[in-house]
Amino acid sequence: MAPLLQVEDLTVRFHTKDGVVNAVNGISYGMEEGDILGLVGESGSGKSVSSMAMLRLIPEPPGKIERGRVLFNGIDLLQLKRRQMHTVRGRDIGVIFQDPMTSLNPVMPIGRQIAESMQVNLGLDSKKAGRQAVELLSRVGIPQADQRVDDHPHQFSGGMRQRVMIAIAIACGPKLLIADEPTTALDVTIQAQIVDLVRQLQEELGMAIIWITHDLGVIARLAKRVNVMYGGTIVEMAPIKQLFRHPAHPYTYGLLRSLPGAGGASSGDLTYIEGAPPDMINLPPGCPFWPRCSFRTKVCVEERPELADVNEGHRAACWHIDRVLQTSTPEAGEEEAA
Amino acid sequence: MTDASRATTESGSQSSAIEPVFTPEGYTEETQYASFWVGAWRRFRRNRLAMFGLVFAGLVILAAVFAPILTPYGYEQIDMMNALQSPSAAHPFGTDELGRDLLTRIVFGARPMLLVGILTGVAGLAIGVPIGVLAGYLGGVFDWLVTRLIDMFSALPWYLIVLYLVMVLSPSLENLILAMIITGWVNSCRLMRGLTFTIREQDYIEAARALGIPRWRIIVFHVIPQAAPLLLWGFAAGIPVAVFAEAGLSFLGMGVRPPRPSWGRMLADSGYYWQFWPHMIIFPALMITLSVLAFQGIADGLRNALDVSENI
Repeated sequence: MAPLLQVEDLTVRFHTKDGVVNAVNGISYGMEEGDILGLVGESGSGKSVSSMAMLRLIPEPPGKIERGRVLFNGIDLLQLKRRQMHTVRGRDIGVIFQDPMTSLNPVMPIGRQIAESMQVNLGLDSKKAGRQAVELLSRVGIPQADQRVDDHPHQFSGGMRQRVMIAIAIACGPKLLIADEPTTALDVTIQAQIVDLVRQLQEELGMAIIWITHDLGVIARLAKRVNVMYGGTIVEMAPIKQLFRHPAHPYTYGLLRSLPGAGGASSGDLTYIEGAPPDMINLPPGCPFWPRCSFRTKVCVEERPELADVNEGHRAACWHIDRVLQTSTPEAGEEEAA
Repeated sequence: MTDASRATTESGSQSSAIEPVFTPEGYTEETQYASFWVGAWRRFRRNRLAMFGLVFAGLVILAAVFAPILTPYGYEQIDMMNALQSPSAAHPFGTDELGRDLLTRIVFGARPMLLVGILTGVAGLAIGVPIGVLAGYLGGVFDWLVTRLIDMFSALPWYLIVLYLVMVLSPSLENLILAMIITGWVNSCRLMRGLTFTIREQDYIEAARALGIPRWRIIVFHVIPQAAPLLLWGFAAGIPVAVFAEAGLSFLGMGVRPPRPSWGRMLADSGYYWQFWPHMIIFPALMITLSVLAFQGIADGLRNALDVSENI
């Protein structure tokens, strides 16, 4: 089966007054239909920029997609004309944004906002789109949807608004849903509800999802595979269980160790990753993570590691995968020895 | 009314029957949420000057519309026998040097005043909003051109441009309005351009783009409605300026041509007489002052009601 999405060597830079920001540095990955991919990384790691660049939604200038291909159903989105891009956005690829408080138009009833996308992308007349909007609203769990379609965003709570955002994103039946930190602005109980809702909708509609977050807990509940990003590159990609049990990159290992309890590895004080995220204008020449890495050797400083196979579907960009694996999963090593 | 509540009302006892949920009369879901415009009206109503302005402007507009019905005299009706009369029962505002009823002329004089105020505002919006929103949303060369144009018009004193234009075009009410539109659209354009810059950066505009909503639709359905309250304020704030300009230019003989009445013109005509017949200057002057004050009051009330920040 041909992959739904194939990102190849995607590179995005921002040309600012202070210098060139290397936001995304040649990332490549693929997705099958119905896949749920978690994109994890800290702020500025390029996870949002790389996803928005696929839809060509980064501000240009200062942003620029320097090179790469984004094949969606075999068509390179980066080569499409503006008008053709409009048909991809919304209809083929839906987006849920981070902040539901600001991502809805405050002066438009939510029903019209849901309907608008269907009118534009599917060519429905306003009556039919309006009826479907009600249906979508009740589908995402808004009670009394037929009355609430005429309400404005300020009449909804944050979690409800995020449900509305989800209704808008799935309105045209997209094949791919990009969720850009959709739970970050919500409190924890609402987060869980939203994650459950998306998982349920995914099972019903079967679309693929890219879930961008820095919350590994959310990823664990939802994703099948995870890409870990650092310094504008993918440093590790793995199936979800593999990643949590056998992290092969020091950064992933550090992230998991800083989780309270979840990894099982940590007890007592939480550990943290020393240092600060890299300066994206002056990236270190070698591995972007070496200044903060406790495994580093001379080669890490001098040369950038490429993604290498660790296991079936598990790849990591590190010169010392074996050493990291031994540290992160000592029992695995013992098993093999026994 | 539900059965349970009827039962309680009929029996009047509170002992055994379950007390129904109390709902005040006239309560609906809608009363819970005051919409933006309802809230704005509440704030507007609290402003005394704004309410005075609204009432006064309303009366003036009604008088102007129904002028021929309201006035017993014609505004051109000369009656030399009754020239220069002080206010009386027959002529509440007195008469001028040709015996024309001053009240009649005041009422008819409201027409050019309102015409200038409203037409320049509406035409200014019609020209300025599209140009401003395109400049702000598209940016680039078009925005550069529009900005230079706005700068140019802002640098020159508009009153002098209007004066000069009317002189060149030959003085008349139509040309006065035309000249004021030529200089006045810049204000709505500047306002709209500035607003677009703010609105363009909002998340929901990016969300709309991510949904594949075409540019023109975003501009028409998302950007302009968001700017509507401020545009309304801008429109209201432009009226007193236009009213004053009409009076001033008519005073200078650059506006309404005699014998059609205009308050500014009447002020000018009273020049030889006002020392002995002060009513000739008092009433037109009072009307100009009160009208400017009224429209300014409405604009200020709107600014508070619509929560317009002043640094736009």
